[in-house]
Amino acid sequence: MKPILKLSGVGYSYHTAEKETAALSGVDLTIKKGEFVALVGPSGCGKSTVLSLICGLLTPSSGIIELDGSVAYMLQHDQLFEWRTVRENCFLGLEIRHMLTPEARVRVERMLDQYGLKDFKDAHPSALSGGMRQRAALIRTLALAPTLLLLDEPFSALDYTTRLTVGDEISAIIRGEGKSVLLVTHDISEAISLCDRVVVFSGRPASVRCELPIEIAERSPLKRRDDPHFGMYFNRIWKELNA
Amino acid sequence: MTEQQADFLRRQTRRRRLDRVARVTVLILLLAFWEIGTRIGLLDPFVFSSPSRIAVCFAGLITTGEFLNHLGITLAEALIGLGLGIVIGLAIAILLWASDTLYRIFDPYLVVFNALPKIALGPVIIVWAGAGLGSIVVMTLLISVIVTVMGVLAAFRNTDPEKVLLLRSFGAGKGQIFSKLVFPSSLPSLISVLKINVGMTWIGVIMGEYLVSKEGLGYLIVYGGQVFKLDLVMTGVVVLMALAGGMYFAVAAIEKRVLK
Repeated sequence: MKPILKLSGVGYSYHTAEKETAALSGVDLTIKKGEFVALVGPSGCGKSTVLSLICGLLTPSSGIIELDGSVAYMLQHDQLFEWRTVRENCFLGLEIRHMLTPEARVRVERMLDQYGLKDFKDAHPSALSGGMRQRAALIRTLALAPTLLLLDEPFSALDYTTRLTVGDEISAIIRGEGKSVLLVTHDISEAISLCDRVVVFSGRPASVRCELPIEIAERSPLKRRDDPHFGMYFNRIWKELNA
Repeated sequence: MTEQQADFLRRQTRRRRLDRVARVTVLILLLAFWEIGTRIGLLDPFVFSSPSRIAVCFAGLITTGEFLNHLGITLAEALIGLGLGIVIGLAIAILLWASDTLYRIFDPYLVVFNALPKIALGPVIIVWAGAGLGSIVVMTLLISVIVTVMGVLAAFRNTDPEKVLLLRSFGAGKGQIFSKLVFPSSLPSLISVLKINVGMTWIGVIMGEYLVSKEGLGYLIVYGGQVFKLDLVMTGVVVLMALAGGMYFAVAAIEKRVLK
C-alpha cells in the first residue's frame, strides 16, 4: 500500500545573524493510512520543525516530502478565538480555505453533536472545560477533512487526570473518523498508549534513531497503560532517548 | 439567593451610592469655596472669576447667536479631526503591520516625529494650509495621528503568534490573518487608543484655534485673555470641558457595546 506520507532524507537549518543551526538532517519517515505514529525525542531536537515542514509552513533545505492527501495541524494550546462561538471556531479553517459548504457545515454539526458539545455550540470558549476546548479544537481540525492529522503536544497544557481522559477521547474520535496521526510528544507513556509505532529522534541535528512498533492489541490508551508489556516498551524508548 | 449574597449586594450598592454622593460633594465644595472666596475678598474675582460670574457670562453669550456659532465650529473641527485622525492613523498602522520592510524603514521616523512638539510647526502650517479650518485640522492630525499609529500598531503586533501560526497552517494569507484574527483580537486596544485620541484631538483643535485666532472656543479663550476678560476665558474652558467629557462618554458607550 502506498504510504500517505513519505519523508526521504529531509534536512532543515535555521538561520540567525550569529550562526546556522542544523535542526534536522537526513530524516526518513513513512506513515501508512490509518496509522498512529508518535515522534519522541530530546527537547529542542526539532520535532515540531518536522510538523511545520509537513504542513508546508517551512520548506526543507534538503530531501523530499511526499504527501498523498491533505494535512491539518493541531497545536499545543487549543487557540480557540474568544470572540467566536464554539460553532464559529469550528468553521474557522473552512472559512479560511473557502470550503464552508453546506456539506461541511453538516459535518461540523454532526461532530459537535456526537462529541459532547451539542449544548455548547453557541457558547463562547470560556464556558468550556479544558477537555471540551480540546475537543472543539479537534473538530475545527477534523472539519477540514484531512487524511493526516499533525498533533503537536496536544495534551501538554492540560492537568494530568484531564490529560488521560482527553487523550482517550481524542484518540477514539480520530480512530473513529479513520484518520492517520503523527503525534509529537515528549511524554513516553503518552506515545506508547496512543500510537501504533513510536519513532525516536536523536539530538540535534535530529534524525531517526530507531522505530519501535507497539504491538498491544488493546486500543484504548487508558487500558493500554495496564498492559504487561507497557513497562518494557517504556524502558526501551527511555534507553534509546538517553543513549 | 443566600443571605450572604444579598448582604454582599446591599453593601455593594451602598458603596456605589456613597461614591456618587462624595463625587458631587467635592464639586459643590469646590464651587462654594470659589464663589464665597471671591465674595469675601479672599480671591480677586477680576483675576479668578467666579461660578456666578461664569453663569452670567454664559447666559449673556447664548443670547447672542455668535456663541453657538463658535461652539458649533469648534465641535465640527473636533469631529472632522477625530474622524480623519482615526481613518489615516488606522490606514498607516495597517500598512506598517502588513509590510515588515516598511515598518523597518519608517520605525525611526515614527519615534522622532512622536518626540517632536508639533506646535513648533505652527507657523509652517499656517503658511501652508491658510488661516482657517485647514490649519486647525492639520494641527489636530499632526498631534493625533502619530499617537494612533503607534498605539494601533503596538496592538496589531501584539497578536498571539501561536494564533497566527494556526491560521497560517490553514493556509491563510495576510488579508485573512488581519480580518479573522488581528483586527478582532486588537479591538479592546483600539478602543483605548480611540479614547486617547479624543483627548489628543481637543489639544489639536484648541492649539489650532490659538494659532489661527479667528473663531471657535479656543479663539474666545485667547481673546478673553488678551482683553483681560477672565470670565470669558473661564466660561470657554467650562464649555470645552463639557464637550470633551461628552465625547469621552460617547466613546465609552461605544466601548461597552463593542466589547460586550
